Amino acid sequence: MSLAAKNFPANARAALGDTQLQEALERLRGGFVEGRRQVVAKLPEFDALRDRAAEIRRHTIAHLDQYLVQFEERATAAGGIVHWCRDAAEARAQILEICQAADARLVTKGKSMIGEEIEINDYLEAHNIEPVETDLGEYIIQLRRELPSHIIAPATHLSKEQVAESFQEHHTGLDAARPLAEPEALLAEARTRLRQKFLAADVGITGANFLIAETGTSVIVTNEGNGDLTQTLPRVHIVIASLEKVVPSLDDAATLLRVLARSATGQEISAYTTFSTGPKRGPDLDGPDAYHVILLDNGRTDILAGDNAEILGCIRCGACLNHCPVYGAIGGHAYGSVYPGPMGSVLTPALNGLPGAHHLPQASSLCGRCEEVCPVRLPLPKMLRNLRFQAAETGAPGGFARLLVKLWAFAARRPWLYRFGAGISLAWLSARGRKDGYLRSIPGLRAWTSRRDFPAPEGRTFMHQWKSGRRS
Amino acid sequence: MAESMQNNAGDAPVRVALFVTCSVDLIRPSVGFATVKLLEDAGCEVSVPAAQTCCGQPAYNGGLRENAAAIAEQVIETFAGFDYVVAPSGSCAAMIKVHYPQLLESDAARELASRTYELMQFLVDVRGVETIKAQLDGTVAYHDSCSGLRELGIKEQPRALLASVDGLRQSDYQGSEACCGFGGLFCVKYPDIADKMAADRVQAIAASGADMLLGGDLGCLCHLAGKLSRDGSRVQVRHVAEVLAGMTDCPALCQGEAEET
Amino acid sequence: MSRDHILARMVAALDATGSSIAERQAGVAKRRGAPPTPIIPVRAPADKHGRADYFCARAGETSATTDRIAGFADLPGAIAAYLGKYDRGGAIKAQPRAAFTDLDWAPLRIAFGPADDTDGIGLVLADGAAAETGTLLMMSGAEAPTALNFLPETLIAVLPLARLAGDYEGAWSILRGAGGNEFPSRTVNWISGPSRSADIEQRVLMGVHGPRNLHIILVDGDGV
Repeated sequence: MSLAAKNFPANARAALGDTQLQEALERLRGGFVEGRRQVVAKLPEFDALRDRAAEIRRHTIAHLDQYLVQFEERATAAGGIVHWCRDAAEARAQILEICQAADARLVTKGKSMIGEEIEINDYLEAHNIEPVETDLGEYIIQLRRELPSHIIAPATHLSKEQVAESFQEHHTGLDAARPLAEPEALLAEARTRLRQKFLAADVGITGANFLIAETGTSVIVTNEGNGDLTQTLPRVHIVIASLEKVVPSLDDAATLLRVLARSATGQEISAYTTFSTGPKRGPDLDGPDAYHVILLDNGRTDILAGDNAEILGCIRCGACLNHCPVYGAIGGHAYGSVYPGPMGSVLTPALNGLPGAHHLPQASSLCGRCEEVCPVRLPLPKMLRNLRFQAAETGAPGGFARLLVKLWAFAARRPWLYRFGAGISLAWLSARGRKDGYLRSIPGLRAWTSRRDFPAPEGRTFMHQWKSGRRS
Repeated sequence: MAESMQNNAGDAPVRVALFVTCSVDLIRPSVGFATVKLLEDAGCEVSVPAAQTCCGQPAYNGGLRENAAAIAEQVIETFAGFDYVVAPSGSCAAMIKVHYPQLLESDAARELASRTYELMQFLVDVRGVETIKAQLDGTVAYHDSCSGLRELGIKEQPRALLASVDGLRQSDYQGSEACCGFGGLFCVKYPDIADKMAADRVQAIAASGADMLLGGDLGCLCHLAGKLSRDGSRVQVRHVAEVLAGMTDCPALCQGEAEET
Repeated sequence: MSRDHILARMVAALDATGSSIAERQAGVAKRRGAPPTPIIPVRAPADKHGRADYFCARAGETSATTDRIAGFADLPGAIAAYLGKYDRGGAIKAQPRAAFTDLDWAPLRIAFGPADDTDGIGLVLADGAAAETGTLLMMSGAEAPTALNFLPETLIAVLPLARLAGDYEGAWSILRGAGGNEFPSRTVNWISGPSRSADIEQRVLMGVHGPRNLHIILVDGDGV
C-alpha cells in the first residue's frame, strides 16, 4: 500500500473513518504520551537538559563540515570505511557494491529511517539479496509491504489480529491451528524465526541515532537488541546515516540520550544503547570484519542552505508525532511519507520538494504542542509557516482559501472597504441567524457549516456601535 | 452599574487602546464592551483607534508574508502613543507581541510588542487584579487557546479571576490544553480533521459535567459552540470577559433569543 | 568525487550564514578545549552503598533483578541460588577472564569463550555502570565477546562496586581509564534491563531478540 503525500485530504478522510486505526491511535496516547509525562515529572533537570540538547544540535549543525570531517578521520583511523553519497541512488549502489563484494545472500537490518528513505530493501531484492527487517515493528510492516506509520513504533497502527494474520500468511511450514491470539505468542514466533536470520546473515545494516565526531563512533538505540545482533554476528556491518546525525563528543551523546528515550517512549533510557567504532580488532572474540559508514546527503545540504536548516537538529524521538492532534487524528500513513507528523511535515517537503507534499505544512492548526515537547526545542510552527511562505511565493496550489485570505488582507488595509463589506454581509447573516442564534448554512462556507453551526453575528459591528456612541 | 474590583496597581489612569479584534468586531461586539468595562474597572482610560481592522494573522499563517507585514505596519501606526494595547484574544495579542518583531524586525515592532497584552494577562499580571465582583451560577469548563497558552503563558490568570466569581464552579475538564481544531483557515481547509479535534473536545466537555464553556479566544469558541450546537448540546458558550464583566444577559454563542436565560 | 561535492555544498551553505571555515575550525577547537560543564541530574547518593542501592532500585524498574555479594568467592553460590530460585537450568557460557576461570564452579556446568546460539545462560563482567538509570557498560575485547551480551535467554552481569559511577559521564571516565589506548573498544554496550518491545498494541513484552532476563550481581571489592 503506497499512499502519496499529495493525496493527503483523501488519506486523512479514510483514516478518520478507520475504527481500528482510531483505536490504535488511542493506545498510542495512553502509552507514549502518558509515559513521557510521568518520566519527565521525575527529572527536575529535564528542561535544562533540553536547552543543552538544543544548543548541542545547533552548534553541531553550524559546524557540520568540521564535525563530519573529524568523524571520518576517527572512523577511518579505527579501521572503518566512510562513503559519502550524494543521493539515494548513489547510496543504494554503494550498499549493493559492499554486499556483492561480500558475496551476500542474506542481509539483516536494524531499524533505519534512512533505509526507508532510500528504499534499500526493494533494491536489494531486485538484485537477489534477501533483506530481513529485525526490529519487530519493522519486520511486521515488511511482511505487509507497508510504510512505517511512526518513526519509533512502525507498526503502531496495527491490531494484534492484523499481526497474527500476517504471520499466518507469511510464516509457512507452521501449524495453521497454532494459537496466535496473544502478543506473547506472536513475539515468541518472531523471535525464533528472526534468530535464524541473525545467525545466517552475511551483512548487517543498521542506521545510526548519532555519529560521534570525537571517536568516529556510530550509536544505535534499541529496546530489542536486534540492532546489536544485526551488527555483531555478520561479517560486514554497514551503517547508513544522514549527514546531520553527527554530534561532537561522547559526553554530548550522554546529554542527548538523557532526553531521547524520555521524549520518545517515556522510558528513562532504552534497554540497549550501543557505541560502535570500526571493525573487529585483532584480539576481539567476535564482531564484523568490515565496518562501513554511508554518509548520505540526499537533500540535507539543500536544507542547510535554506531558512529551515534547524530541522536538521531533529533527533527522531517521535514526541511531536505523539502529541500532535493532527497525527493523533489520522495516524502516519495519511502523510504518505517516511517521516510523518510535525517533523515530517517540515522534512518531507524539504527533501522531496513542496509541490508533491504541499498539504503537509498546511494541515496544521499551528497549535505549538510539538515545539512544547521537542527535546531539542525545534521551532516547528515557525518552520511550517516558512513553508507556507514558500508555497505562496513559488505559486504552489493555494486554492479558494488563499484567494479568500488575499481578499481579506486587501480589505484589512483599507478600513473603509473593510467596514463597508462587513456592514453588508453581517446585516444579512445576522438577520438570517437572529432567531436561532446560529446559521445552518452559509454560501462559500460549506466546509464549516456541513459539520458545525455558525454563531449568528450580533449585527452591527463593535466599531460601528462605538462610533455611534455606545460605550457599554 | 460598574462593579468595584480589587485593584493593587495604583491610582493613576492608564491609557489603553483597545484592539478589539476582527472576530469580536464582526461577530460578537458584546465581548468588546465587556472588555472596555473590565479595563475601566481596572483603572484604565480606554480608547478605540478608528482605523483598526485586523492584526494580519490570517495572511501571516496563510503564507502571505508581504501582506501580513503591510498590515502590521498599519497596526503599529494606528496604535502609536498609548501606554498599552489590549486585545480580548490570545491569538491576536500573540500576533502583535510575538510575531510582529519576527516579521518586521524593527524597533517600532518591538516597541509595540512590549506594550501589547491579552486581556486576562493584562488584568492579572499588569494591573494586579486579584478578584472580580461578579455573580453567576454554573459549572465552567475553561478552554485554553493554543496561542494564549503557549505563546503568552496564559493559564492561571483567567482561572484565578473566575475563582472569585460568586456561584461559579470550575469543572474537571480534561485536555483543556488540547487544540480545538479551529486554527484559523485550518478548520475550513481540513474540515474533517478539525471536526475530529472539535469532537474530542466536546466529548471531554460533556464528561466534565460543565454547563458552560468559557475561553479567551472567539475563534476557538465559535468553532466549539458550532459543534456543540450541531450536536444539540445545552452547554452555554461565552467569552470569559462576558462573565467577568457581569454581561451575560445577551444570548450565548449559537443561542437564539428565545432561549435566553 | 561525492565527498568533495558534498563538502563543497556544506561549506557554501554555512559560509552563506556568515561563518568561514577558519571561524568554524576555531569554534570546534574552542568547544573541544573548553566543553560546557555537563548537566548531570542529581540522582544517586555519592557514598558507595547509597549509590549501589540507587542503582539496584533503577535497575529493578527496568525489570532486571539484582543481588549483592561481599566478594568474588561468593559468586558461584549466588548464581546457583539465582538459577535455582527461577528454575533456570542449563550450562553457563562465561567470558573467558581470570575473574571467572579462577573460581570454583562445581556443581554448576560452565564453559568459557565466545557465545553461540545454544547458550541459555550468559555470564559477563561489567566494565562500568551508571547508577542514574541502572545502566551497565560493557566493552568488547579479548575476554569479552559482544554476542554473549545478546544471544542467551538469561544474562547474568557481575558489577564490582568500584566500577559503579553515579552518572554517564562518570562511567565514561571509568571506561577511559580501563580501556587506555583502545578506548573506545570496537563496541561499548550500555545495557539497561532485559530486551523488550511495545511494538504490538503498545503492550510491553520481554525478550524480543536479546535476553529475556537480566540479573545483576554487585560485588563489593574488585577481585580483578
